[in-house]
Parts: sequence; structure tokens; C-alpha cells
Amino acid sequence: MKNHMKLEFSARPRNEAFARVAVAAFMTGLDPTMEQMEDVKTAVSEAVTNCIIHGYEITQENLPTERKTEEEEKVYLEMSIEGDEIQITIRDEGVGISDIKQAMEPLYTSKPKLERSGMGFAFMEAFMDRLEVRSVPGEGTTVRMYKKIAKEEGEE
Amino acid sequence: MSLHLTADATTGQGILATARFQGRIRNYSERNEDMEEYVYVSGECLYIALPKEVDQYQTEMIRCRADKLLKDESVDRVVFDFAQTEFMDSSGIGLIVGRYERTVCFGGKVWIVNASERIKKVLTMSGLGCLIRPAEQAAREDDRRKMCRSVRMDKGVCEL
Repeated sequence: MKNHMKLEFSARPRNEAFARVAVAAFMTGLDPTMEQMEDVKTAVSEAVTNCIIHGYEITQENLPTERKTEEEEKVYLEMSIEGDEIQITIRDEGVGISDIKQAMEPLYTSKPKLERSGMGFAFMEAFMDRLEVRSVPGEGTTVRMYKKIAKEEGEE
Repeated sequence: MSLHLTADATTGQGILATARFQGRIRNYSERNEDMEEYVYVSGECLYIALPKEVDQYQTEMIRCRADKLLKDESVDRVVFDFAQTEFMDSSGIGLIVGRYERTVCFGGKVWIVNASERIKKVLTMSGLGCLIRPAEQAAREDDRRKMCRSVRMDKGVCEL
């Protein structure tokens, strides 16, 4: 099976839930287990949250109503299914990451005030099979994640 | 330094939650209208009923209300009730650890009740797993029920 979809939505915290649901709905064709579905949703949630609060530095209390127009800050989500593997690409055009290695260290966070636990990338790595991060400071960050949704014997 | 979390029983679960939230599945809205009902102080304890999905959007609103109560009511015990929660990402970890850090200097305690297998998995992955007390193994079913009830009756203060 080969399938592809592309989404573009405003970088707003409330859209984290939307992104999760969209991804979950798109992958139902693969007949994933609840566990696999939740794993993917968690990883997507981490990536989209990162785009919004780190890439664009937008929080619920700091909604850029006047600072910029909504059109300017978007999160781009692309997802394809090939065979039993899903590939999800989540991209922003925000500030970018200057030190990716440091950013990916568990418990490191650049935003302790927001009580980010520093577990975002660690969760993405743990819940998906493979993770690629590319970033150019000032231009944005792209996160690509892969996961095989293979049937396993004896799973519920 | 240790974080006291109770991994709660699947059988006993719900005693806490169902009475209060029967049939309601919700996430918090921006208007905060539900907040007073779901994040409140009872006795010496701040009780937080977590929403269906715990993400950055939801935790920001919870944190705002919770910290106001922690400051105004000077409580040092926090109960996180995950009975209604189906989804949690790392924002939830930040919320728990943040409240812990805020109360620990006053000798406070943090409890987690009614966590589903999924929530426990997320807690475990973030390194909080070793801090979850193996309540299910330690307690018989009757005790688990009692434990849940005691959380409710003693306003969230219970030791295993």
C-alpha cells in the first residue's frame, strides 16, 4: 500500500490535538494496535509542540495576535505510508536549532520556564523506530520520523 | 530527593473519579470554566483531575490555576488524578515535576492516582518509573480499594 498526505496548519498550541488526530486517522488503514497508534500520536505531539513553542516561540499566554499575522507561522506535516512503514515529516520555519546534539540530549531544555521536561526528542526516538533532525538557525527545523507498523504475533 | 508517586490499581480505579466525573469526557477549554471544578484544594491537598489529553495546550492552563492555588492556599500535597486521561506527552512530565519542585522545599508530596497502562508507560520512559511505587504488587485488591477510598476521604493524603 502506498499513501500520502500533507497538512498545513497555524502554529497554535490548540492544534497539537488536531495534528495527533489527523495522523492517527490516516494510519488506521494499516490496522495498527492501540499501542502503536498511541506511540505515533505521542511522537507527533512532541514534534508539533516543539515547532510551536520552540520554533515560533508561541505559547497560549503569548499568542501573536498583533505581533504577526496568522499566515506567517505554520506547521507543515507530511505523512506517507509505504508498505508497512510510515514516514512523518514535521517542519517549521521558525528560529531553528543551533546545537542539535545538545537539543536532543534527554532533560536538556532551552525553556525551563515553560516547564518543558527536556524529553521531547527522547520521546520521539523512543516511540518511533528512527528519527532525523535537520535545522538551520533562522530558517527552521525539519523532523522526520519512521516507524514500521508490522503485525506482531500475540498482540492484543 | 525522592518523588512519591502511587501507581494505582486498575481494579480499584474509578472510585475516586466516577463519582465526580460520571460520563464526562472533557478537555479544558480556554475559558477556564471547568478549572475550578477540576483543579481545587481540599484539606491540605491540591487535587488535579487531568483532562482527556495532557499536552502543552492543556498543561499551560492547568499550571496557571494550580500554581495560583499552591501559592494562595499554601498546600504542599498534590494529587494528580489520571482517571480520565487517555493521552499524555512530555508536557505532562513537566507539569508533574514542576509541581514537585514547587512543593518539595516545604516537605510536600506528589501523588499519581488512576494512571492507565499507557500513562504508566510514559512515566516510566521519562525516568519517573522507578519512583512509581509498585502498588499493585504490594497491595491486595481490598487494600487497593481502601487506598483509593482513603485518597478521597482523607483528602488525598495517603501513604502506602
